[in-house]
Amino acid sequence: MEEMYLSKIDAKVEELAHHFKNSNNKEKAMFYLNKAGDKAQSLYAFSNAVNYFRDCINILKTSILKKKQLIKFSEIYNKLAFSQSIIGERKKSEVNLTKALEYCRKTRDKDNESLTLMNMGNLYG
Amino acid sequence: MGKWDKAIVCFQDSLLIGEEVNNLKRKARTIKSMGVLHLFKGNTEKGYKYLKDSLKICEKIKTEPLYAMVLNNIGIYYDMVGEWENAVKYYKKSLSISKKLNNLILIPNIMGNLGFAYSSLNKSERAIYYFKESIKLSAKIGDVYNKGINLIKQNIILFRQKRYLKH
Repeated sequence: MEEMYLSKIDAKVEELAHHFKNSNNKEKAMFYLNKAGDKAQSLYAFSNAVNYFRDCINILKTSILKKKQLIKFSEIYNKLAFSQSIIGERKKSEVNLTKALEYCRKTRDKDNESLTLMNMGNLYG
Repeated sequence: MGKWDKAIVCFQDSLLIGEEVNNLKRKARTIKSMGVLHLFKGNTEKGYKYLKDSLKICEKIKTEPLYAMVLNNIGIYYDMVGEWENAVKYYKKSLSISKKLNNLILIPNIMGNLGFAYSSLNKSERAIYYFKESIKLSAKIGDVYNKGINLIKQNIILFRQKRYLKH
């Protein structure tokens, strides 16, 4: 399926996300769910973005976590929290930003830590 | 600690940690947010100073989306100090850039602010127009917060004009 869509991956990212979500290929599932979430966010479809990022996190949780995955965790929690804050899920957004912060600190990822703190400030402010 | 104080601590920490990675765009964004918070806390001059600092960085790094946000926030400053004509000027500048960039989050926010400024200038019809546009666009992207705020502001004007029951 992925090969069929190679030339138009951006247009078909949702289908690929759905396809890999129901497969055993966790890495591809996370890749396309994350991409579909980004696309939904860029199109202001925040509820859809929340679903994609949440699915992505659920799959990430079942993986053996190396530093790369931990960094991914913080990035995706951050994006999930942003979409949730827009659609009014502020409490959930706060919880997810706290998780993002936790992962940034675990991996000493200063760039994402600074971003997460800024997003937290925006949520409280 | 209140939410705003918590927010200020977050922004300060973000700036401190951010120094190590030297992300100027984020710095401008964080300073802008601190400016807005100080405005809301009633420290208007301190808030204005932060916003001007943020604007300088935006000009240096040429980031139009953020530049538009800061202009919108400077409009809020002028709104708060009662200089509504100036507020409208800044909101309109911000709106023009945001429309060019098709920033669907910022546009309804600026339109709501324009509505509020026109309402302060007693230009009720224009205010209602902007509130309506803001509500429509907020609903389109699912921004419940902005939609709610502008519905309240719109209805306050309609209530004053005794037109509330007709809507």
